[in-house]
Amino acid sequence: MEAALTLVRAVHFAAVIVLFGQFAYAYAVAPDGRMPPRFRAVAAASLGIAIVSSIAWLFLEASHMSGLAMGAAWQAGAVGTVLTQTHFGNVCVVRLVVALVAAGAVFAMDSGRSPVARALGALAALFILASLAACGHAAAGSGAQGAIRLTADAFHLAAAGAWLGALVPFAALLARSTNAAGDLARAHGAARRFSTLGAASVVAIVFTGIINARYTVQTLAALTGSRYGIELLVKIAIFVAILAIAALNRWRLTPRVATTLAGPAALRALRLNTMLEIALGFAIVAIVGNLGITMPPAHH
Amino acid sequence: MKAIANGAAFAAGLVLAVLALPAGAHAFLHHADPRVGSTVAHSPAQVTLQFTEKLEPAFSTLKVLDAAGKEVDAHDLKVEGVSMRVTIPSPLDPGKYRVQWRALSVDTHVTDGEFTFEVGR
Repeated sequence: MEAALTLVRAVHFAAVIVLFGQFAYAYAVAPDGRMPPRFRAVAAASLGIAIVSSIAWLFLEASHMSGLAMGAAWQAGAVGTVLTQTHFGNVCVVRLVVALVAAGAVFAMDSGRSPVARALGALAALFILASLAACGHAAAGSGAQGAIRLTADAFHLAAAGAWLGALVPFAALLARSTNAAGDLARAHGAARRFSTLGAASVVAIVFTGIINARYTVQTLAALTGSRYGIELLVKIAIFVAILAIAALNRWRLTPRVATTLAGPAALRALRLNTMLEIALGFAIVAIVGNLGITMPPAHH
Repeated sequence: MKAIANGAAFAAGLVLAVLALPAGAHAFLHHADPRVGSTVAHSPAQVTLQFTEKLEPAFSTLKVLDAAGKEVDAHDLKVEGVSMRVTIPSPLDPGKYRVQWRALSVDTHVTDGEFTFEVGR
């Protein structure tokens, strides 16, 4: 049950991040300001996976909440009860509806030439991602405290999703780039813009992450003394590793990509580092899949 | 250099502001009436449990059982915010009673537990 929930959540988070990343890339990184190539295929696949995993998540929660096995929970009408009578279920319905709006917008978009459909798609994708805050521990607070936690978690998700999600089409751009001067210049420009997006994301991730941890972990002792705390420490360690790679990319590799002599070697290194960052980023997403269902030490 | 110092001061301020926020809490039993393990002089008219987090009425339960395991509450569970309660329709005889609860919090965690109280002679 726990393994299934972790897997379904991780897959869902990853799909939603990939979807949002396509838009973040177009607005903040792409050399021509357009959606990445094969955007429609990527968007359709990620939306499809997001919707299917969301439904699987709902069924698993119905079983978990009712305390019944999956089949019995379905027969007892627990899925309907979750949808109509619980906060999680209500959020799930709204997110599914917005996912359909996103699907409509993607369908209406014509390789970036319809700015309204694109903006609608971007907003819908952002909503599907940020509203995951309402499916986790941040939903538990009430009053001003609840609003702070929800807002912080929503920004955390949006910032992390923009960065990790945009990394995927950015890596594809680097993979397409040849050693021709024009390609190197384009890769250089995109790498610079990506660094700006990354820097803004890091500030938001760290700040909102501290707010979240303040509520879920509370004490330093709890950080090392609980499973939740240890998973969080591993997550932070991976994040620091990504930061180190990003700093190397920003200050060493990116300036060299534009040069004729060192350009090709720098481009190769940048390609490799970007793939590594993607792998580490999705490792964090896998941990997040489990963190959301692990009892934070603040609960004890 | 000055920009870095300003940035660091700003970041430190933010961290301090965050650390000063009130701490969060979650759906564990905060207190009960009658109190956990207590002996009350008279039969209570209702049993009320307060939790540390908002509850989902849909899958939360609360039962009061007598020593023989028979449910003595009115099956009228009311869940409101962080509290749940059932009424006791007819006065309880002196003796031990067991309160069993299952709480589903809005962040989807399930917790459960039980405790006893005693109605004195």
